[in-house]
Amino acid sequence: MRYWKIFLLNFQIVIIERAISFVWFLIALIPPFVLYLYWRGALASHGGNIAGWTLSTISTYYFMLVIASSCFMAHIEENVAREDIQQGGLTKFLVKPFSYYILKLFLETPWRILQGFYGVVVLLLFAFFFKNLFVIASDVKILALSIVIIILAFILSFTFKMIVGLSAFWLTDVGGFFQLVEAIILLCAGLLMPLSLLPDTIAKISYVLPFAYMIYFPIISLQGTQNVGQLMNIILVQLVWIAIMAYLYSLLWKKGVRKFTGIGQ
Amino acid sequence: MSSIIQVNNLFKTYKIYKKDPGFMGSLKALVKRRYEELHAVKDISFSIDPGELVGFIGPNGAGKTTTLKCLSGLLYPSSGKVSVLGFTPFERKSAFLKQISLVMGQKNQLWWDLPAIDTFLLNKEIYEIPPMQYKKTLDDLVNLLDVEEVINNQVRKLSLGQRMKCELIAALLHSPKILFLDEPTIGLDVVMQKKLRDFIKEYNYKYGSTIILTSHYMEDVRQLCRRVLVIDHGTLLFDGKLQDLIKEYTQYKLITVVFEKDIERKDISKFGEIKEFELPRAVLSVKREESNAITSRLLADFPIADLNIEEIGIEDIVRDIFIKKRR
Repeated sequence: MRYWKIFLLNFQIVIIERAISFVWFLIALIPPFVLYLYWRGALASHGGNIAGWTLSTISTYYFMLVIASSCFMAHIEENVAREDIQQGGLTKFLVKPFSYYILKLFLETPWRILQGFYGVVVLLLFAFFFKNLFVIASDVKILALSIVIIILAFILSFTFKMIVGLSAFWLTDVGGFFQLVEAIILLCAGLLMPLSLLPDTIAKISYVLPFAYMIYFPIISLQGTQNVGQLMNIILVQLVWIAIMAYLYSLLWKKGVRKFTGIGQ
Repeated sequence: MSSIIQVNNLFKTYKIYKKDPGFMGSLKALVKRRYEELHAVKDISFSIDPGELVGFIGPNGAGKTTTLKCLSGLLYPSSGKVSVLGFTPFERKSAFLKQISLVMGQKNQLWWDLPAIDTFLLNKEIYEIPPMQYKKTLDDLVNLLDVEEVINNQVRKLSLGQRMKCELIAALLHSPKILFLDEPTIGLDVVMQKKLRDFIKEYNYKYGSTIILTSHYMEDVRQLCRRVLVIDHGTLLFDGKLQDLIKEYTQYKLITVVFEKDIERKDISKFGEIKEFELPRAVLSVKREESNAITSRLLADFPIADLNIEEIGIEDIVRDIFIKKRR
């Protein structure tokens, strides 16, 4: 109950900032739309099928990508690094008898819910007007497991981004590091294209790394291309990565807080 | 009475990067980075009893805030022992954090886009304050600080003074046993400074909380703190009553005289150092122990309209302490 109340109190901020949240959503909409147009052209010149991907599967993929990048993918790293660590805002969290990780989770989740809501609205409009271009799993079991995968994807991406944010304990300028992380995510999470279309070696590496489990696998799960066994395997790998990330977070947090000086005071 | 805060041989050292000036300096730093140790706090020891209201005095970079941060668990000491309420602050155990509060004049915990009442509700949940206690404490604090009208207004629309009052409420809802105040009156106008000082004084009296205060405004310290800790360059220079600080560091008093007739400067120079001489007014600095005798002689030897004996201002004393120590 206590956690729920704290969550709801945090939710109010997003309600107030719904306009800026919508702007961020629109920004996230543009890259997948451009990529969709590119693939539409590519498919047309290749007889409508590239390595098993058709116009309907690729359009569903990119429209789901809009939801995935705005809903499952956390964007807390800037807030942690710049406002809390570099400008000293962490001070107010450190003196509170409550977990910093959970407070930040409660701060981030409402943003993802609202952006996800915008995404679902766009997706429904898309599905309504272009029924033949939209492919989603119809099996209830697959859908239920996909929802579990989405929730785990958010927890994984959130914990990973918290770790990225903690880098500010050691790095004076986090901008370059953030750009590098974004570039890796862009390639290995399937934000540029479905991972199965990448060169074999890069695809194999991507399947091992955690990023695919934040975006790519949740999307193809929802598309219904995976069977129950494969979905269970995705969940297992996600849990392993969450455990690794949680351990790393806790380690870096303990070390980082010792370095924290509360600059700006 | 057993101490609520015990600090023994506290050290806090930072490693800071040093670069030679200019382009060559940058190239050199690429090959080998040079670090130096900055001793923010050096071998400080003191203890504080429950209910005390203690002021930390010192110039910028003296180590006041660093000490305060070590006490509140924000900073990990390089060495030494710190015990607050029987806890090691840096471990930041929940039971410890529920008994302290930290208010920083330059940082806020209130949600900017929501009314202050929402931050109060958040703190109610975070500190697990029972509903009845929350209501009573909130009502008390709102009345004491006279902010009933504004707690439902968006924080960004509040004046700096109103915001600081709401910050104090947010920090005090869980009735902390120890309150750390770091520059609480910074940026406020004199009227609001006085209101906050009155509140802090009353809160300390009414609730018996231990309050540790740092401030650049000597008036804060003078009005609130019987005991002061003077820190400079990370070293504790003085720990005791404010009156003792004045006695220890001032061997002089100031005598201000308004003469009825003009006199020569040399006529009074034998009594002490002339600080000001603008007839009919003159200010003399005289030895403390001679001040009574000199006053009598002045009254006997000169036609005097008014005479006033006063201690040297606390600002001047503290400034003198820091200047002398730096020499």
